[in-house]
Amino acid sequence: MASNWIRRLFIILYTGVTFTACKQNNNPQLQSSSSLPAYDDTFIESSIGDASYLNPVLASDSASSSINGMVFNGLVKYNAQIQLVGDLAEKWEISKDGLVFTFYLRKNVKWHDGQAFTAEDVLYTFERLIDPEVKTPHSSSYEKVKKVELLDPYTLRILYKEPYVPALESWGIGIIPKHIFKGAKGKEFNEHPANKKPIGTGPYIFKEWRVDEKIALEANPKYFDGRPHIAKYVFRIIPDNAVEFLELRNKSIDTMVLTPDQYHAYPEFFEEYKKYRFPRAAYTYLGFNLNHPIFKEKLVRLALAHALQKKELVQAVLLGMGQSATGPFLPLSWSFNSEVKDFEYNPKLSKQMLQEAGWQDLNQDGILEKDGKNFEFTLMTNQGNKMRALTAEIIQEQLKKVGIKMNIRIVEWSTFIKNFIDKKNFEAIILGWALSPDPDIYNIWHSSQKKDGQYNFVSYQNLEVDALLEEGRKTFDQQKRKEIYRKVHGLVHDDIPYIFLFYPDFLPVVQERFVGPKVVALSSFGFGWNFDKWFVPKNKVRYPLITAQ
Amino acid sequence: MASYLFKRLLTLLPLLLGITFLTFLIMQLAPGKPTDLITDLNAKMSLEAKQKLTKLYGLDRPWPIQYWEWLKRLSKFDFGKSFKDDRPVIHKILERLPATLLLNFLSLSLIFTLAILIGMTAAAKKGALFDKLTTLFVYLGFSIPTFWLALLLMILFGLKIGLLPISGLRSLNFEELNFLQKAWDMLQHLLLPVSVMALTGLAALARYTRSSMLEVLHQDYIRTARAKGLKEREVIFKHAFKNALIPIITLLGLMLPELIGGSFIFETIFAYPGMGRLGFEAIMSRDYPVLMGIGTMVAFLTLLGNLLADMLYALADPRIRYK
Repeated sequence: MASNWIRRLFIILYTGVTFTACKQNNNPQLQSSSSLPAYDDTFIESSIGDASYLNPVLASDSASSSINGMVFNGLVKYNAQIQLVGDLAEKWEISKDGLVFTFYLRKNVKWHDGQAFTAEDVLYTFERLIDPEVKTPHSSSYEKVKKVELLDPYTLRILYKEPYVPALESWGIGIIPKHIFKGAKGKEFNEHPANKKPIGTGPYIFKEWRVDEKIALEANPKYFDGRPHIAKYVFRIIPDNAVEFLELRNKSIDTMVLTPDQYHAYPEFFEEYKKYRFPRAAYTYLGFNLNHPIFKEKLVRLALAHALQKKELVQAVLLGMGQSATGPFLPLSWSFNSEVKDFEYNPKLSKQMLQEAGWQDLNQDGILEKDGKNFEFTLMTNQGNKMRALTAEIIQEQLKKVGIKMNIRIVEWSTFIKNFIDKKNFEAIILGWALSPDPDIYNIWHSSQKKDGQYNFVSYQNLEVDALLEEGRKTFDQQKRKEIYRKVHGLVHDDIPYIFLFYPDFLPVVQERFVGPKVVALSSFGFGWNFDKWFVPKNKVRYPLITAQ
Repeated sequence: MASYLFKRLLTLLPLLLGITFLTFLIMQLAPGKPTDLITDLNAKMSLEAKQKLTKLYGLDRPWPIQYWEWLKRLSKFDFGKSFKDDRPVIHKILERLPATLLLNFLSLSLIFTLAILIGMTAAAKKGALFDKLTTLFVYLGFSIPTFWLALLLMILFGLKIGLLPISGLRSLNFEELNFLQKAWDMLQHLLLPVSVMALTGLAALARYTRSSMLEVLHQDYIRTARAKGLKEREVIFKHAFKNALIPIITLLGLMLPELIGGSFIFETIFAYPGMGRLGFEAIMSRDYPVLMGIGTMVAFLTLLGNLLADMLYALADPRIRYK
């Protein structure tokens, strides 16, 4: 519940944080006017690819999402503690049974063209999300909505078919203006020119889009949450990572995300930049086909878990820029169970376990056998991901030490998914999952999700986990929910359907004149969560606006 | 000549049709669908939502029907809409065409001028130091990986000397500049990509010119020209050059589609907003309409280039006649 005083408290706390940050940044004359925040300057970000739709209902790629996040607002948003707080909604209520959400909208919000934002816009956004002719990738999140009712222009009620906690998160989707689209539906909506020239409510106003070159935004002076300090935002498209790095060295971009080897480059590269490092909201895993005759047996999987040295993997694959994983949650999130102990690296114990399971090297050829058959399997992963290929090679070496022969097969992505993953036609795989802030992982671990093309492709089944996952989706009390997911974490870890390998680090750099970037759990979803509060001290402005005389 | 031209133009049509058919077929044989980028391993998408998307893109119908639909639209000069952003394919192509034409026109002009000069001089002074040096030079250019050379030059001119911008076509403050400053800005941005393209594309043409020139120089009429006391310059430029042109014209014809085709590697390295990147991204994301649009245009220009080359032969060599 984000009532006003909490918000105020948050802002006060927030400002406190920024000022301490200033002091640390060797800014002795904090009080002098030259170091006060300027309403000026440009922030230049770079991206490998161009955006597709500047419409949050239609877009799913990261480039479009970066821009849409600046131009549009949702009803709710995540704060630094990964808690949902109001954005366009001032507050909300959820009925005891979890079936009715009532949102009270802010009344002072204007679209960038000056029109007032109302509940009609929310209803229109929802109608497009469930419109069967609209090419939205987000419709699944709204399948459980029974009805959306407008109570008055600033209040709306959403009725659900069943209680579903992540539903609240789904209202973080950018709300689009009904009057601009003139109520367009289906195909007309997909092709609407406003998808290229967005009008939103957000901190930044869309200015210009030069395809494959740049997208430019300007601060919204009337932004309801306060005028952003940084006057312009430029999104440059630089398709090659090496060239992007040269542009950084040349100081012509203000931020980029580094690869582990770039992070270790000569200090000259980072003369004016501050490097950040924290776990990315994603993990890489080795998944077993649990229907496979060898991997059906838990003892064998346990033996394998003890045969892998994750530290070596992190060191070799990520140059140390990552940490080993124990389960399906982000270490900085509230659902993470820090009491789960990782399997220790112990090849001896591993061999013992394998022997217990009946695997012995009787013919002395270095490979274990059972019933006359060698312990040999094929690990598959997709082409084009060097990190995964390298991981596979190191695992191959590590398993050889305990007498297991592992073959590696690298397959082109679509073939990999269509012919092997969807059809469960594999023995073991290396893949990764990106995590969203909400811990609901029903689609990946629930035993009902094993059909072709669904995501429990390792065929994991644990009735206790099933029950907890069902419970977790229905429990609105976060304290209880936390307990549920911590249990899930422990159970999934102990069952070893995957060997959770590592979380790669997220390694962004930001030009040092910007005050405000702060590492929080959510930063791995980008720095966007508080960009509208960043500023540059007046004496450090690099690209001053040309003031009209 | 006119009837020949007419006949040739008539054969263009079935050829073009065949090419588009094959392109479409090969595209369908490649694994994956345009919706995969959005739907694959997206745990937030249900099976139903995936199927809905597939249907919305018209991918649930058999491919011959999809091809037929595409042909019907093409007959009205409608290339369809991109799967990536629902914008007309023709707009997406036209948006990128000027930048690509500019880059390719500049570099091809440079390639032709340099290659012909080098080739002719090397032939005239066969075995001399100039011949050996240029041979080494063009082969070096031909063998060096483009992206590596581009990166080295970026580091040298962009970072170390600080003379040229590293990548892109325009500076970020382009709109605030006056016309002359704009031209200067673009020139600075174009210098590296044009030079790299020219340097690495020089070899074939220079060698062709050289060998064809050598062949011509061995002909009897050259000996006659020399015997009647003409200056060497006149022998080379007036008598030999025109006859050595034939293979170069063939290459010129083949290069016509390159004018609009664009190069993925150059455009990616130099963050240049052109056709190469559009095409490559269309392939990677299985954006069929864009792919077919570019494919058709390039195929058409290739055929046209061949025809044009044949016509030019007649101009260069009066002995060649078409009936």
